[in-house]
Amino acid sequence: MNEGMSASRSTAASLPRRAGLGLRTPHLQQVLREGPDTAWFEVHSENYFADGGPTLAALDAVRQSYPLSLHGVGMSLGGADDLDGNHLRRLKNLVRRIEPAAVSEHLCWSAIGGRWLNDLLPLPYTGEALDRVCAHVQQVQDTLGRTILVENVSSYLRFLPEDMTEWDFVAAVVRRTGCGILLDVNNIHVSACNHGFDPADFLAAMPADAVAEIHLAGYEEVDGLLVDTHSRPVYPAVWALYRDALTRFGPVPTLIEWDQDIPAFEVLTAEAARAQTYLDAVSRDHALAA
Amino acid sequence: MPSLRELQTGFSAAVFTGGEAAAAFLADCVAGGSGVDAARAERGLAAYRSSVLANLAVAVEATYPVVAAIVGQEFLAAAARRYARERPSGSGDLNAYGHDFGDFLATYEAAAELPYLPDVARLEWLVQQVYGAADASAQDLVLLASTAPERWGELRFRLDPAHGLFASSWPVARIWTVNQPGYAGDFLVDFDQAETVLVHRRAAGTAVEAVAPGDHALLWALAAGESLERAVEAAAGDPAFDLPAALQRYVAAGLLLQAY
Repeated sequence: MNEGMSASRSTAASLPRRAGLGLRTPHLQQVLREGPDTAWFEVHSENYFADGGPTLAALDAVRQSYPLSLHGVGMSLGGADDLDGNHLRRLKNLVRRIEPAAVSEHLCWSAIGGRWLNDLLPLPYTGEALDRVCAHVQQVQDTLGRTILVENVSSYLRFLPEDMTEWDFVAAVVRRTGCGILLDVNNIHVSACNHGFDPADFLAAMPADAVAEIHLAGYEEVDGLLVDTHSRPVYPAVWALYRDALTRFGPVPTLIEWDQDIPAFEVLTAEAARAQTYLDAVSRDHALAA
Repeated sequence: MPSLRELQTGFSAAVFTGGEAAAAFLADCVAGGSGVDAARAERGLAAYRSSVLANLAVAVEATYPVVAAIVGQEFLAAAARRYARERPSGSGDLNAYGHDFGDFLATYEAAAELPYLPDVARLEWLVQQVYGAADASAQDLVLLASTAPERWGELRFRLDPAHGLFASSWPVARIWTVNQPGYAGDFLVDFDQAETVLVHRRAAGTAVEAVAPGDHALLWALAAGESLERAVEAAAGDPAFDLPAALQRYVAAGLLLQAY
């Protein structure tokens, strides 16, 4: 956990700087059959923890044709409990088999006292939680033999008292572990609305060379609270924040996520195409600047 | 300031227990939990409670489509929600949640009139496990071919890892079959019929079929590492048991993978 670790940050170099799609079970066979012109795919790691069988074979087949990112939803990096050795071993086996372009996890917790809540739960941004997260990120990176990306989550509660802001917490994890950032722009917008901070402060605090992937998704509003449901198109305010992020960080590999009320594959493709136009624009600007 | 463990323990109790545990958690840990923003903090906690219980319940619902076909989606959803509150998840992989839903259904009053339902759920879980079990290595029965038949009793067999065996007082394979999407045959089920079942994943798909009790006993013993002689003894309770036919059947199916 020293500052010099950040020099080894090269994990996502092979994810194309283009718009990709979250690949969910309803579209798996269609993708294999039709071979759509999608730049890359991301899947939830845990959905491929099986020892064998058709689902894992289908992922092997996708990997033959597309760059893949493995995105974990259950490591509980911020848990006061130790990491689950079985979970880590299964992830390691999957990473070895798939050789993904990126491996990511969430800056959250999911279990306590051996009982799993199987959700992305918010951390208190304290020194203790920071130490805990950094030790766990380090353990995952040591086990996998590669750096990982960590993603900021949406939150609906804030804890008191805290030692730092969320953005300083994220930046400190990167500084101390050498991991990369999976910047979820929708989650920044959701948390900013729920807790009343300025999303620009969040973007400004991110170490630019660590931002290796961006997520976009849609949320829902419930009783005045924004909830990260991944059940809608990307909202205009989130597209705007995305363009701010691209201006700041350059053309970063970008993923459209949709996990509930999953629409036709063509709807996802249209969302990715829109992200791609913004990526193309910022790529041109960067080329001109260079 | 509570420790990280105290905060997370309080959060978990607030989600699963609610009531006083939730009030204590909001007061001790949450910004605005006991102040002017108390209503907002309660909404935030309610969002997590709803999301955690929905994630768990939906995972269970997705695992039991045959139970859903029998009792209806609404009934299953209610059972899954109760299960999610009462039975802890032990893994960060939601696909591992719901393994004892059959045992839960056996104690679920609303399902008491469907005494076969717990075994249907247990069979469904088994089918899911077989679906994701390790892929078989190449079949290798050289030793069987090179051993004189009178010494076959000493042989042991490794079975295809992608198989499962199940015994029920109910016709569970039949119930499973008539409740598959697209099933077009007759729907008659003889509920007086006990069944022993073999689940086997092959290239063409996962087969779920009733097998003779002797076959079931033979395969169960072989899977446990018993010699063929002991396995045949185990099958002897079935007067119709036919060893040559059984061997031929399960060699051809690729279930008997290796002799050793």
